[in-house]
Amino acid sequence: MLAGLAALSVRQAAFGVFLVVLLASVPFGGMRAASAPKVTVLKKDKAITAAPFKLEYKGAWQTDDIGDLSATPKLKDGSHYLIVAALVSTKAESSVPYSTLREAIRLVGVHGLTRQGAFDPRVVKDSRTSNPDSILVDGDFHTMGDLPPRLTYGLYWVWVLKPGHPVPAKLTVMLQSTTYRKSSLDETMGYFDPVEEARGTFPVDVWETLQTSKVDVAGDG
Amino acid sequence: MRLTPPSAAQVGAGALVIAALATGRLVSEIAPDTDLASRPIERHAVVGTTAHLRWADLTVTKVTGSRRTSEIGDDLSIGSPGVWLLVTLRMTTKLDAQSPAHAGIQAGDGTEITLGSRNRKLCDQANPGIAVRCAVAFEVPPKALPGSKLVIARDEQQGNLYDDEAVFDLGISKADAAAWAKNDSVIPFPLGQDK
Repeated sequence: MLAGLAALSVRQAAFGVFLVVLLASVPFGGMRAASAPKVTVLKKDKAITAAPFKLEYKGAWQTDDIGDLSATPKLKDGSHYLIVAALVSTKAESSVPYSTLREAIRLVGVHGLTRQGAFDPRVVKDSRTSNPDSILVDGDFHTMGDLPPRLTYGLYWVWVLKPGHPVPAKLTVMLQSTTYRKSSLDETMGYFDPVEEARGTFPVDVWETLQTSKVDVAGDG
Repeated sequence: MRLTPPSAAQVGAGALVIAALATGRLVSEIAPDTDLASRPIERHAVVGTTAHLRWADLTVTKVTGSRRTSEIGDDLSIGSPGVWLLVTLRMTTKLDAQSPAHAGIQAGDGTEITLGSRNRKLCDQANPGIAVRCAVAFEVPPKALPGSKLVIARDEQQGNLYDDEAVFDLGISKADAAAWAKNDSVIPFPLGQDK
């Protein structure tokens, strides 16, 4: 037996070990096809849990004039803002970082969006989806910060469409969930492993008045 | 290259490596929790009393709340779906002219609320021995306000290990929370000069 093993090349031995492990894993699902994560259909005014958030899509708009707000990225001529509104809250035990909030809603398949989030290591490596430039708060239009637990905010996720790219008539919006766990590099806790939770396609309206609320935030009392 | 059966010495070395890894794992499991040893030392105080820290003396001088606040020089008021909790402190540093990097709320419902672009901290800087004003503003759910505590530390939370931090019971009652939740008047941040 040992003499037979000695006659194997390293490549043959490694392949043999692989086969043995694969066969041993069969009773435990080793040969079973991995099931794709279930993606919910995103609908307007219907709350969806995309951990650590509860999100309720409210609408999508486009404009080239969002108002004189220091919080928003300035536009070059021919650029447009694309805006998605949603109600958001969290039952997390601690404020959820703004960076995680930016990852919660992404646009799918829109060409010509600026890529401010490209250096964020948690951005999904999928060039077809983009996270927003900024998130503004309904009412005062200040930039959102970390999301405090157990408060519901009406928020606007804002993207910038570069000049020369047509404004889409419809937007495909994707919600992502993340997992709160220890970083594999150090001991810090954080939100990692983004997974698509829901997706829907919606018409894009024209954003008319800055001061008009696009969302209806129920008070938390 | 052909496989040859391992020698007794090789098998022994492999066994020793596995035994060393198992021993290391066992030691790390039964050794005292390093998180406990490095946890910040809390200096507790209430409104009007001073928390004496290694690097500063801190006193909460005023606590109030409203649904709206504004920043000096900014005409736009900032509303909140909760309540803006506004706290003013007097701070005298002992070591150097440094303002605290960390402020957070341990809310009465057990949640923690951190700083961000909306939740703010504004501390003057002065040389050691000179009292200056420090102010913080946090959005807090009204139901979580009673029993809330303010935590102030010299460094960001992760770097604050092995150091001390001030934990102030802000003395907020249910009646305070209910009144602030109905208060729509704009309270400027930071609050006016206190004595």
